[in-house]
Amino acid sequence: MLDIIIAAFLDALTLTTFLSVAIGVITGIVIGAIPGLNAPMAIAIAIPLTFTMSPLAAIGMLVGVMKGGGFGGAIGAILLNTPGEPHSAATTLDGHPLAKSGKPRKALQTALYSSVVGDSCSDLVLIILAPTLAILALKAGPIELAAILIISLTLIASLSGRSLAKGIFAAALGASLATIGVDPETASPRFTFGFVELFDGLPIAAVAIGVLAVPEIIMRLQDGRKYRPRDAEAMRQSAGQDRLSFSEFTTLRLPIFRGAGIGTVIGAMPGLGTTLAAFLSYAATKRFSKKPEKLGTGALEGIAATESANSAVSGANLIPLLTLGIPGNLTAALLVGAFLIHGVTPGPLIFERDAQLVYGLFAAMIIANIMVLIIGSVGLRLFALIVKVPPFVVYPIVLLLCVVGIYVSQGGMFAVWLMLGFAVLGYCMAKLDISVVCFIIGLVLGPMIELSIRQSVILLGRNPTAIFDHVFALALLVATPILAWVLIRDRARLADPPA
Amino acid sequence: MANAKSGIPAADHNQSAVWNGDLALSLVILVFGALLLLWIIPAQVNDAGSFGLPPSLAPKALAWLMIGTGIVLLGQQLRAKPADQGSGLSLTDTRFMVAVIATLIVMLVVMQQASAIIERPFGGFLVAAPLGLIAFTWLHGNAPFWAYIFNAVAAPLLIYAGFWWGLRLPLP
Repeated sequence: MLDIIIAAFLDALTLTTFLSVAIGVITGIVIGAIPGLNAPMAIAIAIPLTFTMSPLAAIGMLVGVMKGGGFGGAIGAILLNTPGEPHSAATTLDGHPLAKSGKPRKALQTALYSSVVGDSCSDLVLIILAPTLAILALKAGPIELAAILIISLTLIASLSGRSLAKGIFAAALGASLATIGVDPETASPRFTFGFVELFDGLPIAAVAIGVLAVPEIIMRLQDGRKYRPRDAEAMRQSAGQDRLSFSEFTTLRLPIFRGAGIGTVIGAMPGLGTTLAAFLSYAATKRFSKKPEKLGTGALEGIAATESANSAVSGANLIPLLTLGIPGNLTAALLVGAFLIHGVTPGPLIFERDAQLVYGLFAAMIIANIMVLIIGSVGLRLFALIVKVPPFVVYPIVLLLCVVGIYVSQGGMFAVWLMLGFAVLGYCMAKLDISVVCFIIGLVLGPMIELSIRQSVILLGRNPTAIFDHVFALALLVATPILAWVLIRDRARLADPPA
Repeated sequence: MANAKSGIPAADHNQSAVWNGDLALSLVILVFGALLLLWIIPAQVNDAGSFGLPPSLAPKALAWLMIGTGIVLLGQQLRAKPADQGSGLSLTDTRFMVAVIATLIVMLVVMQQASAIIERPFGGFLVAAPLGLIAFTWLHGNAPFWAYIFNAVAAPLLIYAGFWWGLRLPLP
């Protein structure tokens, strides 16, 4: 095993992988910093560019985009008060007031260092826990796996969006679309409508860009009519000379490590997401702070708590992905797509079949964290200027890049037309508050759920009472509706508090 | 704040649009689920020759699940108080989305036609991309003249250079 780990780390240290990760980090920071764009969109747009790369370089680049995008989101949140993702909204609470008070560099440095520490902590947990959990996961058969998949998808559907029914519909629609292509058992085509291009199923990159990136750009173009050029506030602020001292940073160790812990625990559970982690960490910091009244007015601990927590989610999210093949959030679902494109199936067997790639991925994650720290520190002033790039330049070009990316990755126009169709669907879903996260995760998990349910039915001999021999699976199946009911009840209470 | 044209308070006006949006969605889900069960699955999935479970099992189960969620949504909409009702798709949103998608379609068609005439792998891109970018910039609005020039000239050349010279990937 040690020789595989050493070989994997050497693979990650090759110039190609190193450069791929660096390009990914820069791309992630740049795209994350642009108001309206975020890390999942950056990953969706970057996936087609990785087609010609080796699996490790490709996954390494996407991991770089993910980690860079995490910090990039904080730039727009702090300097412009425009969070690219919901979780960055927590960063604006203290980040923007601090920037407005003339200390933007200090705010950005706090976000950067906290983000890197939080991310590194969760990566460490992933590296230590994932191989052990994968061994345990291998003991689970198709029946247990089917039960785990069903409860995970229910959890994700319950927590995404405002309506459980819409969440389940989105997941079901995604899973239905995943059945397009040749049936794995009988090899007969399903829903191909005579198109040979659909025999391998829907191209995930085209669907992801279609439902994620294009609708967002359409909405941003639509907002353009209301656009007014911002004053030089961001640029003037980025020229601030205030720096975060080492002694100041050490005083933040408690909120940072608390945030890292909260983010790691939440990230390891499918569906809970970065927003919850960021706000929970912020609330915990306020609860334990000696000066809670300072939070919300530009306190460094507020920025540190939220950034360490939301960054810690990204590493921990790979725990269910690598051990069970279950993506916990949108970013992880897109990474599954990238894994599949490069012929790698995430799940417990990945540690046996592609051990070198997985350990290479761990090494790439460590490299990416170091890159975020170095590139973020060196280019802080430059990245701060990105928020000044006018939207009428950014969005038309990104829209064209979506088309070009899909064309080159799929080698033809068919996928581009598909992408346009999914763009219409994604736009309607966004406007009707239907969770795109559930849709994408349903699409990615669909084949796995179908296969495990089919295997389960055969293993149970088509006798439903045989499930009583599988206590763990039965417990999960019984827990699923109870969990959904509890979540719906809690949500209703939150939405309609007693007078 | 009142709506200038109708005089209806803006909040009430929005809530009305919202209610219709979710009600329509539940009906669309029901119709789609029924179409899947009654027409699309029988026409597109062949169960003949399967020894284990039929290939149509998962699509049928998912169609039933969709119908179930459609019924739940419909029930929620019929019981909901105006303040609880979800979001909707306005006519303005739809018109703008259609305009952008139509522009993309025209750009792609021009790209294909120009590529066929010029007979170079990147010919269509260099003809259609500047036109598309000008149209997208116009759709955004509030853009100065230099932005049109930059987007029409520099951006396509940079993308072309990046993909063709950098990654050796042919453009449309």
